[in-house]
Amino acid sequence: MPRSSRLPALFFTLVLLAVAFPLALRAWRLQLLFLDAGVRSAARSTLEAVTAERGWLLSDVRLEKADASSLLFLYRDHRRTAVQDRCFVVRLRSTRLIPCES
Amino acid sequence: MRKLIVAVVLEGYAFLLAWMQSLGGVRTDEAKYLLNIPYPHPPLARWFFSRTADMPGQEWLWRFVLASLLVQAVWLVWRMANRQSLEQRFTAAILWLTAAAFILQAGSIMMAPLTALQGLVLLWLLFERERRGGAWSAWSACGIGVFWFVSLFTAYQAVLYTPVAFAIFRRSRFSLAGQVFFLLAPIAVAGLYALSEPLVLASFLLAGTKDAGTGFVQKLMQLFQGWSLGGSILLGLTGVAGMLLDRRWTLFLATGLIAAFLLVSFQPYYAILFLPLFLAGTILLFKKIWHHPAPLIFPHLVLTAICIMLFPPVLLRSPARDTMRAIVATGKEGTVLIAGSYGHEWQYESPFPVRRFVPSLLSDAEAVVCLEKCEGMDEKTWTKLPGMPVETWVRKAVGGRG
Repeated sequence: MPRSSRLPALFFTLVLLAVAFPLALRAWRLQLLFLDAGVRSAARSTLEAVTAERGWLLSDVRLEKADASSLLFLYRDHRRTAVQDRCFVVRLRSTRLIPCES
Repeated sequence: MRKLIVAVVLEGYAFLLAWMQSLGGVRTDEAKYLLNIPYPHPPLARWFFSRTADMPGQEWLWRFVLASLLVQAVWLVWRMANRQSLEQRFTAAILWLTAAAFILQAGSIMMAPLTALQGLVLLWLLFERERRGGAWSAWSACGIGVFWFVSLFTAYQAVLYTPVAFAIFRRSRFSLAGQVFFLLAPIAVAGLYALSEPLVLASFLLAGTKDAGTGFVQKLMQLFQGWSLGGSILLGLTGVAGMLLDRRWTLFLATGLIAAFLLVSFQPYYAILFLPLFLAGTILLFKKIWHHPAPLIFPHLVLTAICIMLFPPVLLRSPARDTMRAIVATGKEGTVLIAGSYGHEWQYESPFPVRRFVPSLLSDAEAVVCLEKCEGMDEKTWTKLPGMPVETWVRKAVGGRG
């Protein structure tokens, strides 16, 4: 590659990497959802049960981490006024929410 | 000075289009973007919209901004027809501004018109390079790459313009491997975003299967609807004719991708994705064989009117705004339960938490909206608000609690 092309190509690559890196980290923490059908199915039914019990919309739940036994997610009540995200852990097949701080 | 006057007149048109869209209130898809709800598209545009969430005129601001962007994009159309006669340029500009999909979508807070605008920018870049000859410098190609990345991070459907983006990168000084990298790496990162948001993948699956039961003939009818709206029928014909006559296979391929997309997952608002391509093909047709195209304008306007009558916009307001205003007027502050299926516009219009109706949540709620039958509404504890568009209950004053 001629020298004059290297810097722009490098800049472009760095821009992509700056965005891709945090996304890759998130995808890594959620990898079991893609790799394990059992975890995927249990995660779906757990979230459906949790949201049904509390009257939440699924779109207000943002999964952050999934392992073989539990999920960590953020709940945001989407409104026009500023609302804090609330972080919870839930064991698969349970609907009992544990605040992340505890 | 003349250009300024034209720009101001165009802004008046943008205002009119934004006003027309506001008649229907905020729709559920628009509320998704205004509230930065993380599906189905990547976050770039909706993040910007949501920065103004606590502004009183948020809806109007973005309707006007988006309508203005689409309307003022006519200057790009003017440039695309550069070196053609004034009549050809003027005709192209009018065709852009008065296509059915343009009128129906400009001023809506949706991703499809934004993607169409980005597609027009890509087409302008392609035409500009061809006009000037030569190749893009490395930094220019880098800038175009960033724009391509921004387009994909605005909405996934930008990927339908991949053939156009590839044609642009092919005219850069990078090697073929570099050109392919500039094209595909942003697509890969956009794909990585989908992997990091499971709800996005779930919504893809839903969108891809929602029309699974639709018969092939009905799918063709939907494609015809999208095609017709995209170019008010006439532009669709002249656009494809121009692509074929000038052997513009990249434009033809991009048009084919959009058509295939509409066959899989049809929504009327996707029709605007055709418009930049139809217009580009039409400009090529003017250049090739049609030197006096002004007579096209009148039939185009007539067909636009017919298309809008055949496929009218949905101006039926959701009852969300009026209902929430009535609840606020009672002085009640607290959770609102909604029985039945409801869209995100209810979250948008409500200053209070909104939940699905679950009987166990009734004791903590201050208002209940019944989009379907509500169970357990004790008239000793709850008052039904009169004259509401939907059945709405508010909790009686403290003495009225059961």
